[in-house]
Amino acid sequence: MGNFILYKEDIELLNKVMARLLASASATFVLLVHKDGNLLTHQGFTRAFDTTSLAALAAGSYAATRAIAQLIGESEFTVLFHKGKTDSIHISLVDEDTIMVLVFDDRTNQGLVRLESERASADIRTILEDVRKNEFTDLETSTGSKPQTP
Amino acid sequence: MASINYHTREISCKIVYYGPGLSGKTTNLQIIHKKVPKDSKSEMVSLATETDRTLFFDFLPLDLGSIKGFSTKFQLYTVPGQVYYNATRKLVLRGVDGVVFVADSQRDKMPENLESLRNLEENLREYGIELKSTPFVLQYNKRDLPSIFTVDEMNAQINSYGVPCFEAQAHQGVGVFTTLKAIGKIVIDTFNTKYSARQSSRRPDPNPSSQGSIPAVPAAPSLAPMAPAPIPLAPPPPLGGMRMPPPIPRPIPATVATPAFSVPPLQGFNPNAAPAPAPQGFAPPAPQPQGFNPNAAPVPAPQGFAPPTPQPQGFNPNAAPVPAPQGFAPPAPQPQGFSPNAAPVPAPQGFAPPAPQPQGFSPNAAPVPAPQGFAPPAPQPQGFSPNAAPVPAPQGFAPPAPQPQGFNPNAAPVPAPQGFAPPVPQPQGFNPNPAPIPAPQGFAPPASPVQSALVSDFGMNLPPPSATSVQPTIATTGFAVPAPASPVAATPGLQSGFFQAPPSSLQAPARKERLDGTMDPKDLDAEIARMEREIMGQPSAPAQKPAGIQTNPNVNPNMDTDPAFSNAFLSPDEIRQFQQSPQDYPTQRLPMNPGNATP
Repeated sequence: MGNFILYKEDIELLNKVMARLLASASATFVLLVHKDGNLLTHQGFTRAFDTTSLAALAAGSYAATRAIAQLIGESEFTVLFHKGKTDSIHISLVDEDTIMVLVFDDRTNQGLVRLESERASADIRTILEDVRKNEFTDLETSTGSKPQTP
Repeated sequence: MASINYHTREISCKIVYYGPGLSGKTTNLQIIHKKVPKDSKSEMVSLATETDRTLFFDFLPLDLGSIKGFSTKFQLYTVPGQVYYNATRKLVLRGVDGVVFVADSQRDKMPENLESLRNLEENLREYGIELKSTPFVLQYNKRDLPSIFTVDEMNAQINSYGVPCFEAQAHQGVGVFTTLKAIGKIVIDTFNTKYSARQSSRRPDPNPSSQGSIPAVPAAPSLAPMAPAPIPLAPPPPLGGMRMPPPIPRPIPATVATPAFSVPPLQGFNPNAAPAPAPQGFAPPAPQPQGFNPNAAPVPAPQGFAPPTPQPQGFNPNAAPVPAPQGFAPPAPQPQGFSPNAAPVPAPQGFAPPAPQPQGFSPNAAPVPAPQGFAPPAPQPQGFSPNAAPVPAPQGFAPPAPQPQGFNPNAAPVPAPQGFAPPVPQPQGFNPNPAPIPAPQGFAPPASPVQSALVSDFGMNLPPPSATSVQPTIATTGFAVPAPASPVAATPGLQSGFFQAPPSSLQAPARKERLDGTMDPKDLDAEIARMEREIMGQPSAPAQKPAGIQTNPNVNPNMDTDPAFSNAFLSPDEIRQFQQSPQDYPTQRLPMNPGNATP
């Protein structure tokens, strides 16, 4: 388990995938959350929400569900779905360290959300594989962009 | 694990307050939340029982100033201290960057402290972390109570690692920020060390002589007696100061010439921090105020917080980023529709029925050598609810297009099964487990894999050659998939006839499904006979519902004709119309083809 080092290019790419997911699934907003509870990035209408706490709680909820899964002999559940009266949350596993939290309301439906989040997860997984190879650069001199490798 | 976001210029660290029940972990967070200025905190989240005992965790995100333009986001967690909450304690510890152990100083609580500390070590070990190599401080809480151990006694009993320890009265706010500052500093130092080492390993050090110089072990600060400290915001009594236990000094790291960054000045907490003489190992600024001064001007990086970056021995500075996870399945094949059993069924290539017979199978083509359709490469079970069908895939509505159902030899992989009201003979299973059984490859030719599966699963005696033409059709229902030995016994309630559809449901599909996707063996004979009649060109018997056949009680069998449902979905004609002119669609989202959307 290494530290997560995200550069501007990574974030922009992740944001693009997530923005497309929002559009195609007609969701409200989407968070990409490390399983530790760190919010990696987000897209959509998040201004009205405390995304930091939401990320931590979603990670906690996912972790608890994972423990439940292990009690019944599963390694983990890949999808969590909390249905509310109008707004619902779809939490899905992206890769071994990351989960995606998708919040949507009753203007879309769960099947579409599931389908689209599956597709987006595959893209995000690919991006995160590259993110893991990122190297630390000096904070002071960093422009935020990924350093050019010779 | 800490994460660095160069784009938003943030560094996130996770700090966990650990300790036995009722030792004051949540109180620590509450005091921090109460006293920190509003712009550096969010709301505190507490998952507690009705009696305010922590159930899962408390969570407080905190902004502790900035380092070289990067804001440091500390996420403070507490664990539930009670013994039987160990499972949740373990979850909270995942990815921890620093641990504060809040110990209860009372004499009768020492066994609980020791038990909790041992539990902490155990839980960390499950994540592959050793406590001695993790940023870790101790807080001796409840110093105002009678009958407490002295600090030296506490050190002797629970501070076996020789980490910094602090006295505290958490409910009065005494010692809380000292502890927080110390752990924050150690976490940042660890960070520094890790990345400085990584950087310097890549770059030649311009000043190699400074490498490896080990500073002297700092003298333990004066063990000032604890003042009563009645008012939290009072001018600072020098209590709660850090104590270095004499017996086992923590390994003092080597300095590194160019630290990646220095410790944040903890703005707002430390109004009077005088610049302390530089290289004090863990020593906080000398006159430590216990209270909190919201008007304090940000102190520009006091020296006392920025000793030459230590390089703790236990840390692994060369820890490279973890390579990409190998254990993940490759991206799943995209499902074609929303059908619950979207397993693509490739047409058996060796199959040659006469072309104009879309529903049937040529009886002459009987021995199918291990049809490919039985062993597709584990199609991703998308498992979508059939109720989700209407949205993007217009095929889901039993399209009126003359799509040949069944085994059309010319059809490439049969696309998504039709979700709603499938034509009667279509071999659609209601199988929630779409992974088909791989065909036993080398199986005796006369008995097709399906046949053998039927025989093995249901003990059926199928007539060997003549009926084989039917069997591939049955197999595509996923009929042979998991098949508990006696599905009848598995669902006794359904056998009672309690859920039988009313006799008027003659429109219901003749295909007999059960909730678990299997077919009642009793009905299989009738089904085979009906298929045989169709194949031989005989008129099919009216799709009457034989007695004893169960339908899915969750589905209204009269859905097609019931007026209550007439407006629920769009008709196929309407669907086609909107396919022609998507802009007229009632809601903008439905005709969208998400797969082709471009960002």
